[in-house]
Amino acid sequence: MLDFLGIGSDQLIESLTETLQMLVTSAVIGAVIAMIIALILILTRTGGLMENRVIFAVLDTVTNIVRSIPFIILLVYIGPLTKMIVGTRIGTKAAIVPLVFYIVPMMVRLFENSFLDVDHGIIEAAQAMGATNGQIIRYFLFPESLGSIILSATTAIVGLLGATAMAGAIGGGGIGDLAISYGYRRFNRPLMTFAVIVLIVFVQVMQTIGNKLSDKIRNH
Amino acid sequence: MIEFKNITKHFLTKKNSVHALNDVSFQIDDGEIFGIVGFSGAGKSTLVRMINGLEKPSSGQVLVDGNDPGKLNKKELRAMRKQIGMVFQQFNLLNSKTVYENVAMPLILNKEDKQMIDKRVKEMLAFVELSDKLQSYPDQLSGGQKQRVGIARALAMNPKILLCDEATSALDPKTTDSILDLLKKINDDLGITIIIITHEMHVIEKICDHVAVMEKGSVIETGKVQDVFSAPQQAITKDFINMVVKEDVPEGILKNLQYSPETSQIWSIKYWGANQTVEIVESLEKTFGKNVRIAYVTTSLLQEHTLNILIVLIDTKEDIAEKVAETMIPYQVLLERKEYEC
Repeated sequence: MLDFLGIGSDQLIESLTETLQMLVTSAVIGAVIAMIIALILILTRTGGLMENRVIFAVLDTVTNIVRSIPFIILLVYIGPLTKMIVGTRIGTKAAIVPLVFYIVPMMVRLFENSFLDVDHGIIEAAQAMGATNGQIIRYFLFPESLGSIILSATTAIVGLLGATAMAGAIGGGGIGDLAISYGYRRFNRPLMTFAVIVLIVFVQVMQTIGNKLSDKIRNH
Repeated sequence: MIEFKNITKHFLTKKNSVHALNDVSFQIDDGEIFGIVGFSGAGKSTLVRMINGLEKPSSGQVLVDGNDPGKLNKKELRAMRKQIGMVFQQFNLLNSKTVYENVAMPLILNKEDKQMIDKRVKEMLAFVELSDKLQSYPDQLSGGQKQRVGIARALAMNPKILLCDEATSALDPKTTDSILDLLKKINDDLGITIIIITHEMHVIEKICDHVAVMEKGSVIETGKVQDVFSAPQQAITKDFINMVVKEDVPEGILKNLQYSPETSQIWSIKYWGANQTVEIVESLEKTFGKNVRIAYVTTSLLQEHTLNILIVLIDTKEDIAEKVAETMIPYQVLLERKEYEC
């Protein structure tokens, strides 16, 4: 059925699996880390619930620094660290580490914006009710920004998909790598086109799910 | 009882220090409705937020039933805040939660059990007449309904004090009145002390017992609403009162009466109780003959008391101050000669 692509269907399925593996793992790990950092930034910023200039300045600067590094450079630059964490510098598993480094700062900024959009009056109302900081996050900040956070996460994950295409540089595999190694280098235009279509479908599906979820939360 | 003792507050900005409050002292008795009126930036919101510790004074002391919120630790402060309800101009409801969940929030934060929460929420929503909106979301409600939810939420913990920060300023006049009626009912039925910040004198006129007038961080006038309304001391208080009780003759009316400062004097006569315009004018006519002309008459209701203002023109060049005062003795009025440039 897929003869015109010039590769076997097992190879195609493998690539798809690799992409999904990289995408889902780094998105989940990245979202958790980013959420924690974004919350700390919100709490410690000037006028925040636990104002702390030092912690804020350090996290804010580190976020900006990591964000400044282009992904293709990040991928090879943090090789030693990757080896420390997952035991190897190459392969799909190894690609997840730089992908997390890539997505965390982006998600931090997006989540931070979502939190900042929560009306200060709502936080003040929470304080007036005698809520603890933990309760403010759980019952006020988080539910009020959830719709926006889902959209932020969707934007970030779409960006992450683009980054997985570069994972081939360290043998990460995936659809993007398939398009480059088997499509571009072997002048296999149908395969490249197919890979592009698969990526488009991926993005469409993710964005649609994100929009639907967010709408559902916002419009009850 | 809430006491403000020599409160000052300044905010530090990068360039200078801004004085938000300047040596403010007064007290609010239990069970009353106390209004704080002033233009925006007068320091009302900052002052009221000191009652539940959302703001801290730079110097001076706030005492709420003898406790200073500024001296409590975090845990004690949270416990105290649960005893003080607060209602906001922009309602500050959770848009992601239903009306029911919004009202339940203070109880959830206090870790009450579900049955108790259910009973209390339904009770409060019945009190504010919103029992049919339990499962609605705030964005499906009108402004007045949202404020009713805000009030129900503020009352859920059965507080002793209710702070209203411009609670009616985002509402139209009719809705404002219905919210004011509700606040009055809360004060009457539940005996809760209510502190209202507003820039609308109508709010003070309608439900407040005592009033403090603020300007540029200072309280410039304070007292019983009736006293302040009948004999305001400060220019700004007069401006505020003029918003609800017209005690100045519109210029057009003087023009129509062909008033001129050379030939006529303007006397303002203020008194409480039943309207006695006819009797007063008759007495004046007995003394001054046909030279008395009525320029302006108003009657306003402050709480349950009627305030009458009668402004007359007396066409004479003579000094008649003593004669006017003498004539007015039986009526117990506040007499004032007014000057207008025409």
